[in-house]
Amino acid sequence: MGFLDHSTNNIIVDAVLTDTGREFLAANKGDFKIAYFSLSDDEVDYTIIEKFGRSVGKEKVIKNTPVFEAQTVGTIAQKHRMLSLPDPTIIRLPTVTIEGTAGLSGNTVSFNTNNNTSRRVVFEQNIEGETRIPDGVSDTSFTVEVPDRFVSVRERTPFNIEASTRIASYTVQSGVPNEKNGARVEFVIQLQPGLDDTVFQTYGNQGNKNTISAVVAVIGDQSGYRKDFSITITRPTA
Amino acid sequence: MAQLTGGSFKRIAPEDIKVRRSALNQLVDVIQEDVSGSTTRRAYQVFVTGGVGPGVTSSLYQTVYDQDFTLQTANPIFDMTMGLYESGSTVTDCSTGIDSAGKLLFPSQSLMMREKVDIYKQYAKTLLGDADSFFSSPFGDAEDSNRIDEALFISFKRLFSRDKIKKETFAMRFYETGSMTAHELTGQSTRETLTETSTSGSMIFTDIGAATNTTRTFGGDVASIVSATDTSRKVGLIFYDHGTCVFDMSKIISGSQHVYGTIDAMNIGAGKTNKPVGTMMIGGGPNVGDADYVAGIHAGQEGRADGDTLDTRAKYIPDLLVSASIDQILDHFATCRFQSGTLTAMTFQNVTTINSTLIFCRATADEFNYSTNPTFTDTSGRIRVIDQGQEDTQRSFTFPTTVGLHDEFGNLLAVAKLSRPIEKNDERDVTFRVRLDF
Repeated sequence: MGFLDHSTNNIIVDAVLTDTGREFLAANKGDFKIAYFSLSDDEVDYTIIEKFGRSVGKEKVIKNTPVFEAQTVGTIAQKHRMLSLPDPTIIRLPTVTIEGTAGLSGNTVSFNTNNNTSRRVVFEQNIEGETRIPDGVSDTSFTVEVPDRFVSVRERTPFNIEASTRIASYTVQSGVPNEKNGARVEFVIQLQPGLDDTVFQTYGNQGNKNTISAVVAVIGDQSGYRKDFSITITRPTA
Repeated sequence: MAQLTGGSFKRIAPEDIKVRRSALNQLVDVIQEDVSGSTTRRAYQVFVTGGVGPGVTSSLYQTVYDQDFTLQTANPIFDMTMGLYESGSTVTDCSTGIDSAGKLLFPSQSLMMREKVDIYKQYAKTLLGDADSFFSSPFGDAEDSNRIDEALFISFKRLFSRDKIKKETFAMRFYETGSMTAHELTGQSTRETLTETSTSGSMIFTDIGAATNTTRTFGGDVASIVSATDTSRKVGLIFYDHGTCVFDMSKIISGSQHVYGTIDAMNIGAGKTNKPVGTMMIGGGPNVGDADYVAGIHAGQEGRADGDTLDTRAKYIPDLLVSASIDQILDHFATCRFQSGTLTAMTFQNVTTINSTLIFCRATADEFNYSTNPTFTDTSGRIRVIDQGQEDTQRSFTFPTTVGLHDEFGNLLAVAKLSRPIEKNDERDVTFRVRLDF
């Protein structure tokens, strides 16, 4: 993955089909129908604006932020979507946490093949200094992306499993919003049955084949807010 | 998937999706070394004789690659083969008749004659619509002198010709004159010249004039290939849609030149002392007046010494084309007539038709001015791009770098990246024109 040439005044648009897009085209079932667009700014570091001020900071972002080439793996191609909010005077946005999650340490949820084969994940939006999360940010449903080789979401069926990466995507509906209108969702991640020696030997961490590390993402379907956290799966020493 | 009603997606109006068609041209350059090299030219020895001697194996065509064809990274550039017109003099003068099943009969000194005729017929059927028809240059000309009786076929692979060859872009550097034998040039030794690289008679054959002189026919657009130095001299045809060139061998080489060398043959012994069994000397047989001279046979006999066996009656056309296998004829053309260096042997431009979907993603002034980028807010959730104390006057802005295209259910179908971030604020509407090529 290289950078796009930004040495000219022309803006170049580098467009590619994602693996999902190609799969839909190949299936020839008419699923390839573009209906929406979204924008994202994964490369941009907005702390530059804070450090250099709005005027110089903007120039630095525009001129000193090389942009990566388009990524074809859909699950990593667009990490942070941009938002349209009805109120133009908003100065605070919600933060998302998984603080109520069982087995959480830092940003990692740990599993064990003997005990702790499942963990309840609590994802919640909150906001500081405001009484209510702005409309349009509070999600009613979420997409949970998990590594299907190792874990699944209990009592749910994935709507998609990416063929190359084996990332399974589930939809979970949010529960009753919290007192600040923040979305709150709970679901259980459980280990897949049959995590045997072959799986640990193949996917185990380098230097410690008794532990597998992976990443789970929770993404708001409406807002695009996402939270990525690590999971570790440990087995008793062989 | 959930319905995409939130603030991070915007529906694309039907009128913002347009379909356009355009053409892409690529320049293809084939260097001499690729054509002449034995590692870059692949033979498929599927033809095997039986009966007399050890037998002869040969390909029906050869493929030229851009590098050693045993490497996985090698790309095939073109296929090369040759064919003879059934009613042409090279075939009729040599044929001994037709059997009851309609099969052409030939003497044992000839080789692969039926295969050579069949290949001509195969090309004629595909490009002319009639296997019994003949190629002529100019296309469709009825003059016997313009009929292509001995054809060299070059078919470019789809990888390089793509949808078609662009008109007036084809050129080929070719050496008309073969290496001279002792009988043709005083002082030459009596060495074999059949496999010796030619150094004289360099010609450029091109399709110049094709833009205004193209015929639409059964095999698609076709035009004449002419000599660059004399465009009235037509030496072949180029079928643009098929990516195939048909050269008249009698016009691109000096066919009447003396040919001399070792070729595989239906022979129980060796054509010459110290040569492999099952070969014979072409242009090395007894001469007129010799005791063992047999009229009509222009190929040598077993055990003859060099010095007195240069049968000058043996010519490239018809003798080599009749007596040699397709492989050995192609070997001669590829190794000797294209030279062996780093110069361009062939060049053309291809045409790829691209169907594009243009999608206009319009972000109005009020849209996409906030971001879920973790750096957009500080740890307390405060938007960083608005200065503290200026909340009443300043508005949020963002820097999009990526456009995601989604289906009705939010599946990300395509991604477009901008070469630099663009500022988006509440005073600016931006339209991203994303082009997807198919």
